[in-house]
Amino acid sequence: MRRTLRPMLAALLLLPALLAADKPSTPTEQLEALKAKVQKARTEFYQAYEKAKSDQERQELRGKNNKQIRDCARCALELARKRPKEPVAVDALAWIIGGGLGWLGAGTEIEAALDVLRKDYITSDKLQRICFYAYIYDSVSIKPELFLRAILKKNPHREIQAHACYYLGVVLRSHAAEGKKWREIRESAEAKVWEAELKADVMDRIKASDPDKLLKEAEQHFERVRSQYGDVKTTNERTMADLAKSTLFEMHHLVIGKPAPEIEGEDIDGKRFKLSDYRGKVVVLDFWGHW
Amino acid sequence: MYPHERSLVKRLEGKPFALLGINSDSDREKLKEVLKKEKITWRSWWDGGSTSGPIASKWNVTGWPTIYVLDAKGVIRYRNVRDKKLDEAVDTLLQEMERESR
Repeated sequence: MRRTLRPMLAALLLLPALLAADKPSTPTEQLEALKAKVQKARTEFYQAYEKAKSDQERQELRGKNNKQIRDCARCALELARKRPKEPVAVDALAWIIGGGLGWLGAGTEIEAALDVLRKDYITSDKLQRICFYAYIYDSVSIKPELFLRAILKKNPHREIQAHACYYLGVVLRSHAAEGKKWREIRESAEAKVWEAELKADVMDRIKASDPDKLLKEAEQHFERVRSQYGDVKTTNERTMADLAKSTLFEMHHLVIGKPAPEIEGEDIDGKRFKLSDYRGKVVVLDFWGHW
Repeated sequence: MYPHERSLVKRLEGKPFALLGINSDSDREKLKEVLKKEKITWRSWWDGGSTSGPIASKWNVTGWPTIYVLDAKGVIRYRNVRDKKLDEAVDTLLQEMERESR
């Protein structure tokens, strides 16, 4: 009895030390550990999902994975709250939004992170990518629009303003499309699906929208990008002026009821031809690639 | 996509209809093999070997495939209709042509 007690006691005394060694110490390490945990959960999920035999099993796996992701997102949110004004706070919040956690897993935390960034860190120089992710989550949340508007008003960095201005235009344009579609379907069965699947505040936005006004406002933002931020580079080496110009061209000319712009160029064998050669025929234009 | 496109082209053989592609692949020689293997008989513009080629950029295409359906006057009538909806769109426009030529 005595002989076994001592090693056990030693092990017990060692335990906190072992735990401490296992626990990351700096906040940045803690965030990295959360990222790794999500990565691991995701890999395990994909592996298990492939082997799953029934829909029920797949659904359970999805639920479990979403919960793991949500827990990590919550820890990151907590980390940001505990370390206000430290760089790691913005990193943690940016990761929740732009780390690919997904709306089903971390929707609530993504909204919370957008709120905290908007209220406490809106002047940060790390928010360019978040402007893009704001656009990604805009159709399911009202927070991205608030975030982009706040950036445009308060963030002092020109590159970030440029991206916020462009993506605000993009989200307003999709709000216009959304509002128009709602007016067409509001008496149909599809309307019930919208009501059931979208959050109440998003539904309110859709119902109250004025599509024509939204389109005009979107256009103003693209014009502003072109005139004020034209030289700013995008992530794939285009300029913001190119991006805004293409979008304005699409809004003005590539809409139903407008004549299609001419296309002229070489075919795969190098022979030149043009779209207007096919006038008098119904034409399907298919932008495609074999990938 | 290819089987549906093939059947659409086959079904409308002899009608005033054309399927035209704007291709964004990077390797022209490999693409020629794909055309042969997949029996792609319809014509495509070669958009300079990338997804940001001149035609796709001008048309602001950011997702593939993107589809436009034009009537006989060259007016855009449908966007991003697929499968059965694409067939219906084309048939509607062909019927419209027949009515107008009567």
